[in-house]
Amino acid sequence: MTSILSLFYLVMFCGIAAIGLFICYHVIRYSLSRQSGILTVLVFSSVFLFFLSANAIAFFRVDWNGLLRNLGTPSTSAMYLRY
Amino acid sequence: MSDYSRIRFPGIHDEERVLAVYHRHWFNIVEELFLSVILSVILLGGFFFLPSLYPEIVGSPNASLFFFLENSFFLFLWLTLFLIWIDVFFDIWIITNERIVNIEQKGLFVRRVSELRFRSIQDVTSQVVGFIPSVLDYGDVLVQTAGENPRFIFRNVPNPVGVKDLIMKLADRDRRIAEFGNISVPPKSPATGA
Repeated sequence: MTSILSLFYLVMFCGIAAIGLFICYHVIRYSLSRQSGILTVLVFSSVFLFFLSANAIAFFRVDWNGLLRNLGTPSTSAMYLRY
Repeated sequence: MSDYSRIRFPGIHDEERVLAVYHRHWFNIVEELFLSVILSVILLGGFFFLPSLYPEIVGSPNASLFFFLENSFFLFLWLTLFLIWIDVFFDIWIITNERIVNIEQKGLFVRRVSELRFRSIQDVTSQVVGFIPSVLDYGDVLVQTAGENPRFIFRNVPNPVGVKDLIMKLADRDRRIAEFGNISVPPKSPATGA
């Protein structure tokens, strides 16, 4: 199950990375001045790469097996509600 | 004073001189981005205040899931923000000494470039509608033409009256050149002051 999830995430990751690359290409290609295009791409890509790498790290830190196992049992959030 | 000498766009000639470049007014761009900005503020608020309101989230095994979901939202929001910005900011109107060029961007994959020669201009109208556009001085400039595309519209550009005046001056000059063959100095651009 985790491998299916990882495969699904890989497809999503590649899709998002492709959109990011296309945005960079678009900004560089169609900016009226090259200088402002490069500046925009720098701002966009620095934040985008930070979020994308943090997202990948966060994905692999989640205990998907444990979460999927708990799907059929009362959730941890329901347990918190009892407090 | 803006320097348009470095500006390049498809089809520009060597002797062609850019007199003015117009994007949509900044307030119009902010309007388009408003929802994304509000969502970012809510997400940021959630990121900082949820752990203090519900401390059990931090210690629970779901903390990494919480972080992953929040990060995914930020990522999508950042992409959406830029996609909207590209859609709005890349709508460009360029006035040169020879013609008007309109570059219209719709999403990432639709881009329409149209141009208008001054001699086909029949009438130019500027219109400012609404309270905020009146205060911030932005609106539409409608150029009536005799060509296939009957109306050429500058949408939500700053100083629409100035844009209209510049187009009228250039159209008059073009008409005089066509009539008398007398090439005079191009009129001063209100945007550049050049």
